[in-house]
Amino acid sequence: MNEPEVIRAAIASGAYNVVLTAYNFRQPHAAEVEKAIDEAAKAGLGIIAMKTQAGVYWDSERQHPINMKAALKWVLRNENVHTAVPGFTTFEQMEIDLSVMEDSTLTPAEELDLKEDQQMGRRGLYCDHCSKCTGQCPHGVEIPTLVRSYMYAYGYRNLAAAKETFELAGMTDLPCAGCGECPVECPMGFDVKKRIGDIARIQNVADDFIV
Amino acid sequence: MRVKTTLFWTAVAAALCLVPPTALGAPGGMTEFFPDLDGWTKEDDPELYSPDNLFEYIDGAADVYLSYAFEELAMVSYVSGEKRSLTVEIYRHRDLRDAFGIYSQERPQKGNFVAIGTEGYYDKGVLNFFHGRYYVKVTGFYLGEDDERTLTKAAGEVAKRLGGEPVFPEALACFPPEGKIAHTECFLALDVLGYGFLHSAYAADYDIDGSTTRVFLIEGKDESDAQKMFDGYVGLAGKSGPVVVENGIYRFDDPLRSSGEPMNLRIAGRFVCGLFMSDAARAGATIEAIEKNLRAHRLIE
Repeated sequence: MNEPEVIRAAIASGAYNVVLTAYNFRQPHAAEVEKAIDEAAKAGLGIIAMKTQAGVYWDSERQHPINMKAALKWVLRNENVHTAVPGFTTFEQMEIDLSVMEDSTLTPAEELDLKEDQQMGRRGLYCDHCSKCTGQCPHGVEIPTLVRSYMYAYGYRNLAAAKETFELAGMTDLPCAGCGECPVECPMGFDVKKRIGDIARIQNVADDFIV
Repeated sequence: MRVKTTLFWTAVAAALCLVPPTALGAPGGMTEFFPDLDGWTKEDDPELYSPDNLFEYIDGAADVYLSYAFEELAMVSYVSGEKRSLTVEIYRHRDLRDAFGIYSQERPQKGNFVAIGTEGYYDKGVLNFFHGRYYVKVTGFYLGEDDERTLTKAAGEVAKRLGGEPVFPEALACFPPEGKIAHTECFLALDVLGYGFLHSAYAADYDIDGSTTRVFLIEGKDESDAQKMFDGYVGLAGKSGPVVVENGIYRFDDPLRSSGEPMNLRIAGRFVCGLFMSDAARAGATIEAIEKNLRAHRLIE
């Protein structure tokens, strides 16, 4: 999340001709990145955008692809971005990239596609380790560790890691069931109470099943 | 939902019971894989990276690791004196095939190969190896004349802690040895030959009459998956040129390549074997040899 800071440091140093920066429509701080890019361009630096395809999928399960053409056009609509390095590993992807070179105008439909995340309420699986949940639970539930255990079970399908991580939290009697509305707010939009409720069941999986 | 969830837990538990111990390694964190090294001090607890933030550590290279079902990276730095330092990175992937795959993408064809883990290679300042579902990279700075010895020692200690026997993915044994160029075997997880519908291919290079030919062995999840990939490739080719079938081998020009040599492709069970070669008889013999080995290893009937 420190792209603006790094870009400004590059400008201030006077030692760089080009900045290669992550820049895409999903960055929570895209507006800040754009300001820094604007400053760099005005200072005469070249701007190359990377990570333009924003993870390729909306979800960590890689089931819901992002509109790749729209993602690239979103970046190139910024006139301060001089080029981008999206990369491709298939002929189809190459053709998509080349088509954007022919016409980089972001259509209204494509713009709407980039808002699909908000429309569909899709959320990823993997915790960002931002620790903003720490201390939010009035009962002191060790949220980061339990969410990590959830990730091992549902993301990596590693029950052994999930159970060991769950036990690290040291909470055999979770208060979630009897608690009212969960006050925990996760910046990634995870339903923390539901995830903890789901993973708590691992206590009931006998060790015999876990090699 | 309850039935689906119950089935999920049952399936995962059953799957875990079928996974060899070497593929599991230590549960939870990988802390216990990092040895204490005489004369070296660990700088801190392991830094951990998940698929969501791996790029923060290895930037654009993360995409390749993710394509090999990367699960977690644990990294520890060691220091000795003022300047000497070591970094040990342990990448855990979904399984042996994926760990071998990412290793095979980065290993040089000609190199100083070492018997650490299942296989590794050393170059000045670097010793990388794979073992089970782990890909390990040991990097040293300012080690001077002790470079190789120090990296070998550190890597060896990590390999010991990973445990398990050295095992290559079984399908690699199906490539006939004659003419195979050493250390060219690899596993391509996605986008084989530049096609999004082709995935999970083992490949090896062969020296055939002075030319290098790459032989592919695509592994479907099951026979239906293999058939889908086979039909997709043949179908695509058939739209732009003739497809000749002889002894079950389909020969055609790849529409997006101008190598001049036709693809020779045959499906056997959940495997699709292919190579670009003008000599149809020779291509057929290579495919026959691979399929014979697949049967010998009981990978097909």
